[in-house]
Amino acid sequence: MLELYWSAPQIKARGHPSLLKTQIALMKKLWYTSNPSSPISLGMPLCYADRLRIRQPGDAKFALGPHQDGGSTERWEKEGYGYGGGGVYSAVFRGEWEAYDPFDASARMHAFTDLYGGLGACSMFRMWQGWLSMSKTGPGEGTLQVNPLLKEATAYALLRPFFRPMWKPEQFRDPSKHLDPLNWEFLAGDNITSDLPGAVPGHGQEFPEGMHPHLELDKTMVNIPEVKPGDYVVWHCDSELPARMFSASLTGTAIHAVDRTHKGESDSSVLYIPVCPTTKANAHYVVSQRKAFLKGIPAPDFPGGVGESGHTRRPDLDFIMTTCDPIGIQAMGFAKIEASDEETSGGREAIQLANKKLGWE
Amino acid sequence: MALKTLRLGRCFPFHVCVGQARWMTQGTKAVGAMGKREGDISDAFTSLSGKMAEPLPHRFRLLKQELAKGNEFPIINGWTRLLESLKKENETIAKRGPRVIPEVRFSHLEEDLAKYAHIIKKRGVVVIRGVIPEDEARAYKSEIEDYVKLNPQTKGKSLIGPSIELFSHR
Repeated sequence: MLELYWSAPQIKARGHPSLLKTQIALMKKLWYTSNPSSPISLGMPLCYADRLRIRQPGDAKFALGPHQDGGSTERWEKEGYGYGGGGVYSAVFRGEWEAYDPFDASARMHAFTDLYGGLGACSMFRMWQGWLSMSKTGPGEGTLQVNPLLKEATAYALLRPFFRPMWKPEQFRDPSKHLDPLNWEFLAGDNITSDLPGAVPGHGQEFPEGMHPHLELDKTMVNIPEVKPGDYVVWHCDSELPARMFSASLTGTAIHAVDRTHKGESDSSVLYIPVCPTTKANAHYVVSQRKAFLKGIPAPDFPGGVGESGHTRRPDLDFIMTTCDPIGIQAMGFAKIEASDEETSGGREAIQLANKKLGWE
Repeated sequence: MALKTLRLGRCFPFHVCVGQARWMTQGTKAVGAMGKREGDISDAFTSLSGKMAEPLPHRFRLLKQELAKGNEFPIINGWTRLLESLKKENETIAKRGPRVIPEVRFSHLEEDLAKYAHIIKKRGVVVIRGVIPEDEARAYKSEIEDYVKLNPQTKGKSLIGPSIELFSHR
């Protein structure tokens, strides 16, 4: 992981018309707003300046992810993602996890808005976490591993604190019987404890081995297929949850476990580029991110310091204005955002609020 | 299934990160600071991890009570359905591996996204092929390397060889 936010390739990629077109399609075609008047634009991305990774074959050290998002106890808390009427996960807590829709932007947006500046999460509402590959990298060469079962894994992580196993695996002749629903009892009323397995307030979620046995992460974490330079891989932010469970289940050996998979002949190199919609809160972050760019220091969500402020050949504003697509320039906060003709009423409102935040109106 | 009334006297075992947790996963030092406290764990849980954290504040107990109140049976039924679904789906994933992950072509973006929307939403992940021309994206990498060479003060550099310390901050 390189502590670079403002190198020329990062800016070129963030402002590349094809990447922006893809981001818009990933928002518009896969997400929706259950409340069309929600002030959020799926048609206009905002830029989130993340880092990059270049791993050479033989690199012994490894980072689990671009950074840790908050998302531990706040998934249960009212002030966090919310569970009440319209809360992101309310269907799960009613037992109707099948009805939980991870792609409804309306409910989720408010959760993030309320949380803004709060619990050390990623400050922007990301619809997709993503990376752009700069290398040809196949499974077993240090790529991403995911648990490709978004809804079930999320529901499981949320409901797990309400249940406990009655018998340990070794108490069964067939240890897999440990997973049988009959072995798991509901903790009701006075017997409820304060515990949220794996969640620590103010920390990322941690998952020791065996804490979430029904996810069978040892066999359900799969590598993404081989990627080439220019391929863009995105994953729903909730799906980082099992990924972290898995990494943590290998605690102590995590580094080696991943290192073992790094058998590639060449480097494994990616730019982290998430997909974020236009909202007032996201624009608020872009305001400080814009300042960070001009100073050449790390983006506000990341560890501070001098960053690239003293770097030779660091791109300046002129570079952005002459290199990036107009939508990219708007997404970075360096031009007034223009709403597309297809924009919804909520989308128009979001863009207006964002422009106001960014000082264009 | 009856509601059980067993008392759980101690907290679930899980480990807690001590210190600078926010950037924990990036720092070799911070990883070293990840404390795993041994603790007195109720018998039912010793098999799980052997790790222990301080119990969460009382408000989380109230929160959980509130969340479950009136929803007990739907939650139990939902949980049972969930475990059944996981069992089935896990088997498919284990069998098919990376092939379960959907791919779309940038050249046919709208068409492919429409066609595979259902599976992309189910999997929560998608690979989009050829967003940026291959040569262009590959050139990004060497350009970054040049930028780092020109600026050896760059933090976290790992470009030169296998044994460079990746994470120098914190």
